[in-house]
Amino acid sequence: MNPLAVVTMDDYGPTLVAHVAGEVDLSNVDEIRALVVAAVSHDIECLVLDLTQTTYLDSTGVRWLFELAERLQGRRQQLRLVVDDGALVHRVVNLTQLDQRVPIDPSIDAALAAVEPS
Amino acid sequence: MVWSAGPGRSSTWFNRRWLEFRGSTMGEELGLGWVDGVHGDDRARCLEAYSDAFERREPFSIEYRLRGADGEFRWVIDHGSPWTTDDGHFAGYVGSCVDVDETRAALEEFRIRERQMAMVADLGRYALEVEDEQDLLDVAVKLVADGLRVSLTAVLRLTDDPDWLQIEAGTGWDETKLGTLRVRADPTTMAGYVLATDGPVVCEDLPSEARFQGGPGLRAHDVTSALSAVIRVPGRRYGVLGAYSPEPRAFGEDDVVFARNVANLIGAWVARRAVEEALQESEAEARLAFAAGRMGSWRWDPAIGEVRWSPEMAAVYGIEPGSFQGTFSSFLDHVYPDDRPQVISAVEAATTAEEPFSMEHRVVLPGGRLMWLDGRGAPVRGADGSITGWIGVGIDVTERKLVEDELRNRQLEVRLALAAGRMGVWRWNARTGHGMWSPELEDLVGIDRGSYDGSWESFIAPILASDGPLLREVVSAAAERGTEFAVGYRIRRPDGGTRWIETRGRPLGDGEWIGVSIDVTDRRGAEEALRDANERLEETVARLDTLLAAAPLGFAFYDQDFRYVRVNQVLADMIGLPVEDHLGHRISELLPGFGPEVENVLRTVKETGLPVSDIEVTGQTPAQPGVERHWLANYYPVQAPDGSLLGFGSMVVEITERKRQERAARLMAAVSELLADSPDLDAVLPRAAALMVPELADSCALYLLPRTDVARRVAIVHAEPELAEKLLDADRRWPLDVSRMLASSARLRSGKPVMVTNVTEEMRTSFAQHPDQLELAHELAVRSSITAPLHVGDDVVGLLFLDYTARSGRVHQPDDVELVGALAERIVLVLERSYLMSEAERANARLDLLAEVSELLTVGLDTRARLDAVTDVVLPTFADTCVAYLVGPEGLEVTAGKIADDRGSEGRGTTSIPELADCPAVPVDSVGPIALAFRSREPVLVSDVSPELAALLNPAGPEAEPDFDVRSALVVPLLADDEPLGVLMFGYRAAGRRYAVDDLALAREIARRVAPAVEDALRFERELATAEALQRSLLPERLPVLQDADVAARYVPGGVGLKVGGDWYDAVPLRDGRVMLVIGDVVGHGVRAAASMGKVRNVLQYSALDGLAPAAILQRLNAYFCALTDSDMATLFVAEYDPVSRKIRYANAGHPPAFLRLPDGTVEILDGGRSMPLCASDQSQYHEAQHDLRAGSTLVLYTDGLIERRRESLDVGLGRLRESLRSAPSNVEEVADTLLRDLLDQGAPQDDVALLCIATVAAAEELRLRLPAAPRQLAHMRNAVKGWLARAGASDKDIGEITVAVNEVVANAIEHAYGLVDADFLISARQVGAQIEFEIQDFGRWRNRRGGGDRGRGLDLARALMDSVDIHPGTDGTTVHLSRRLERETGEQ
Repeated sequence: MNPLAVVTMDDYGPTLVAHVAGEVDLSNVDEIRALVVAAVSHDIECLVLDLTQTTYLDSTGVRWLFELAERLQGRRQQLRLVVDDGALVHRVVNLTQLDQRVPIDPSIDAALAAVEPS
Repeated sequence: MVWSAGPGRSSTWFNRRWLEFRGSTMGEELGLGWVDGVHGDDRARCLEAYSDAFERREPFSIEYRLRGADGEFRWVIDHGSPWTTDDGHFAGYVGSCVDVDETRAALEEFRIRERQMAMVADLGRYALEVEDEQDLLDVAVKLVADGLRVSLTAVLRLTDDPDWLQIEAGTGWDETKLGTLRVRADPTTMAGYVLATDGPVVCEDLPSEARFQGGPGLRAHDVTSALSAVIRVPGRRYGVLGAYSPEPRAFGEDDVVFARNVANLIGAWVARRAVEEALQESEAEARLAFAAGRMGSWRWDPAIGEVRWSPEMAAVYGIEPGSFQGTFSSFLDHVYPDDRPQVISAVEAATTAEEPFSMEHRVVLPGGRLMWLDGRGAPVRGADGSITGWIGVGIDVTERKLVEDELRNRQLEVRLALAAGRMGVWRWNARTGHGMWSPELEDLVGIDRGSYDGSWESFIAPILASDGPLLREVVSAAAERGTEFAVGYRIRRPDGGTRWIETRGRPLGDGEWIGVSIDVTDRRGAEEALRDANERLEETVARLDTLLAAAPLGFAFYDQDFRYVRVNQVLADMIGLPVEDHLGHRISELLPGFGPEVENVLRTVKETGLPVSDIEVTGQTPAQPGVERHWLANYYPVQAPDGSLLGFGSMVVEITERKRQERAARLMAAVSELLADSPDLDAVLPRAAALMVPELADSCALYLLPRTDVARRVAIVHAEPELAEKLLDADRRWPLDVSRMLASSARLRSGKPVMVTNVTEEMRTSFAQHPDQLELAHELAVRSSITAPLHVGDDVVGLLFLDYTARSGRVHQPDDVELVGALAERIVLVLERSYLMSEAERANARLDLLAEVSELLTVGLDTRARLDAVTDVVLPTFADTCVAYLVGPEGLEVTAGKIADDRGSEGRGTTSIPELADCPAVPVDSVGPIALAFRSREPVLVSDVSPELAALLNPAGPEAEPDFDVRSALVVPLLADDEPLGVLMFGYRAAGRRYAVDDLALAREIARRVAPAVEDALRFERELATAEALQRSLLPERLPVLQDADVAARYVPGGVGLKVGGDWYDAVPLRDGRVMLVIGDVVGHGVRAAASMGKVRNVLQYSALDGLAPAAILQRLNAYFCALTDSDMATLFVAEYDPVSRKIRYANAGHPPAFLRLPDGTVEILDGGRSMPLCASDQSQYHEAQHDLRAGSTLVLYTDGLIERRRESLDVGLGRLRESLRSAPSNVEEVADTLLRDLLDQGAPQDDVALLCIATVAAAEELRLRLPAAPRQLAHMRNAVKGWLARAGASDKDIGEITVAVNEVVANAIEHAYGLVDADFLISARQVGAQIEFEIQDFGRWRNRRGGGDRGRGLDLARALMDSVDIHPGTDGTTVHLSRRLERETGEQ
């Protein structure tokens, strides 16, 4: 059976880009959380979550992202989200005011460019 | 055993088991060969039913005897069902045969018992009516012959020569032997042996019998087996009942019980007859006693206006017995006309107040003479306390009245004499300085009557001063010497005239003088006048002396403070103190018991100034302490001449003896009245005891001793009811040791009452069995006691205790002993009569009870219902409390229980024991009768239950409040094959009722009938539970979710009998969205059928997933099942639905056809693809048919339980299904509910029912999803929602956002409503124009929104995305409505 969502990682030096492709909901959010947490080591400075391939994100996914931001802030690591402007996920991120908490970029390049050097 | 037959009735096949049973080959049985095996007596009936069924092509059930391989016939039930080929042709019958021989034998045996019980009940009814002993015996022996199926029976009665018994009645004997043939009454003969051992005797082989020999009578009839029971009559030996058989046979326990019941009924009848005869004699004696006392009794029933007089009453009235008219007005006719108003008002007052009355009135006797009658009456109350009538006695008291009148007349005479002689009487008391003048003396002196003030000054005032000194001299001289005196002097009257007066005085002692003064002025000479006066004085004094001393009359004078001023010797003797000891003392000082009452009367006299006549005074005196005495008294005022009150006089006559006679007569009459009372021993006993208080006792205890067939009973009545309760309670703790009691007194043993008038501490101590009992004895403080044995012949059957306590301080008198003896004799008659009548009735009631118990146990198969019924039925005949315990893991668990509402036997209402589930289990190894009966497997009888033991019997647990008040208990184990299942506890809470050894038999009988019924029900429940569990486990847990079709299924287990297990359905999702729908029915029921079904299911699922088509699946299943040795037939309908082509193809193995409802509502029957049931033949070929299943269609698969009803053709059921389906709603769940509701009767169906419905949904019409509440279902749900929204024409944005909202609500439900536990939720959606509405329904309760950042965010999200979100929490789930208006696609505008 195909998994609902697939997570892949790209290493850009101090910045880690995680691509979440597919749907994130109550059934797989814990799994995705575990994958991402395992991938984010202490030595990276920024995590860019690429949600452009995320076709569905529910409120449990949003909750996870709030938690992730909290956690990374505690470790002095940055979090940026990449979301397509007109996508359903963008609407969700906007409605839950996640965009007030985490910076949103329209593309990976924009995100990488915006990473503040530490 | 299974068989099949062709359409031409000849058998075509028998299974292996049939052939094994018959011990024959297939060849021998085929055709009609099997008919040879049917019992000759059953053959015609069997063939007729068989042919008849074939003609009508209906299922049949025939019961017949079939010969087995061993040549023995056994009863079987043969069920056959017709079957048809797929083209609808009748193809013959398939049948199965079950061996029911053992059930049948048990049933036969049961019928015999029922019949015996009915016979005994009939005999009981006959015995209540029959007058002649011979008639009864003749009926009884015929009954025994019939009931025990023997030809020879006999009743042998002891002759006057106690060494011989004589056959008085019998069947099978030469007529000349009856009433003549004699048998020795010693233990060498069977009858003698039975008489000697006092019990039923069974002899199975008389020639080899070691205990006794058969007499010539039995030998002449070649008797081999015999059953005899003794006929018992209390107080004497009667005889023997026998049943004899020439053929050897066994007599079972039931036969013995039957014979004993018949014998007991004969015994009860004879005893009752004897008592009735004795009673008639005793009545005659009572009449004599009545007549001697010139009294009689009467009874008045105001309701019917009837007055009945005893013959003695008529005699008292001087009329012929029986000539009294019997109405109240005819009674009044006898009353002296002047007294009638008084009689009427007395009766009216009594009936209004409902209290006893007494009155005296005159009666006109024939011939005109008047009689004074003392009439007394008391109300008779019914069980409910209302007055049912009045009884009373009438006593001729003319003689007493005459004495009283005489007394008054004499007083009058003296007065007249005084007035005629112009003389007056005076009294003078030198001590008190008080005097008294008669009215005549006042006339003489010329002052107004009553104006003399009693003083000396007034006494001498009229005397001329010149004559004073002489008078004083004479009087003082006489006073000094204590002699009479005579003196003449002159007085001046107020009118101025002077008169010559002669006065004579005489000392009466104690300073008291009496004298006569005569006016001699007009007399010729003083001498003459004086002589005359002297004579008159002599006469007057003589008369006064007669009054004062001679008559049994007590006189006394009291001063104003009720102190004795003067007392005559008679009264002093009555009181029991010397005359001097009275003087100066108040009445209440000397007579504290009733003195205050007398003083009250005197106060009335004082206030009114009028005398009080003829009042009765009762009390004890120092003369006879402890003896209650009665007097008739008159009290009158004594006034000074000026009218002022000087004091009081009294005149008293003792009537104690007469009162005691009246009391005796009244008590005897009252006890006799009890004979007419209810025959209920438990009601009569306390009434008899109550009669004794307070007349003969302050406390009365009446014991009826236990006998073989009656429990001991006690009634205790005390003037203070609380003490009676305490005494009853003490009796439970320390039951009276009767044998010790009897051993201690030869007089008691000889049947005579014993009186102890001075009960000592030593006696109390020796009587008490416990310090608490001694303490109670001190509280009771018995002073005087009479103990009377109640005996029938030489047997003491009871004891009567009559105790006077410190309460009254009374002491029994010697004549009380005689009275108590006579009362005891009469009480015995009353009790014996009640006992026999109630025992006879009870025996009948108990037999009816057994029949009722047996009957109840044949209905229903639920242990609790069965035990409930039993506890219900035994009340109130055999118990007023009944609790059933069944053993469980915790111990003995209360399963059913009933308690009579009222503690009395009259209470008919019952209460179930509340909160059975809350009653703690009784550990099997605990103490107490319940666990003991269970462990020992023997009944436990506790005739008298102590409070401690009662706690252990409390179903609510020993610690529970309130206390469980059971007085007598009997616990009997329920044994199945000697293994205890539980116990039945019977209890009496009503005082007085006790279980006895004889009750054990009935309790055992009840248990013997209940136990197998309970075992059956338990086994049934176990198997039912197993089969149902198995069944449920085989049904799919959930049905597949299809894109464009909804599936609903139902399974209803059969409610009655072991009907669960054969029916089953399945829906197997296949590739490409196809689904295999299956419904099936395995022949048979129970665990075995369920297991067979499991096999079918596995093979079918495997075959379907393997890609086989319906017919191929059936082919494979048939091959598989025919190959198995031990499999049952099954019918099966298999259909495959392809959503792409919207078609089904199906095959039918002997199953009822499927129904299809088209979108336009017409209903079609899918009757193609029909073949033989599975396992009918290994040669069967299975075919397929197919049909369109357009959107909006509903397909219904079902098992025959849905359409079959008894005595109804299948077509009717099919028609009903068609009708119901036609009008059912469109929603598939509702279709299933509607079909079940329309086609099944109320309650559980006879057979189990499976139903599988599939409805294809027209796309984008409505979305309906039923999904498991699991997170992994969310994606699937979203796809379905998206697909539906797309079909509904929503934009991508609408689709995405609405999906998010729906997902949030569903996720919320999954997470919060269920806590991630499996359950379903429902989603439905519809489109109304541009409006999209969703409804999400779950079956849990949402938790409150927790702090921020939680799931509340999900709902916020949904609210942000939808136009409206409404949450409706309900009791069994939450429903959320979402709605949103779709954006219009720009392209469409």
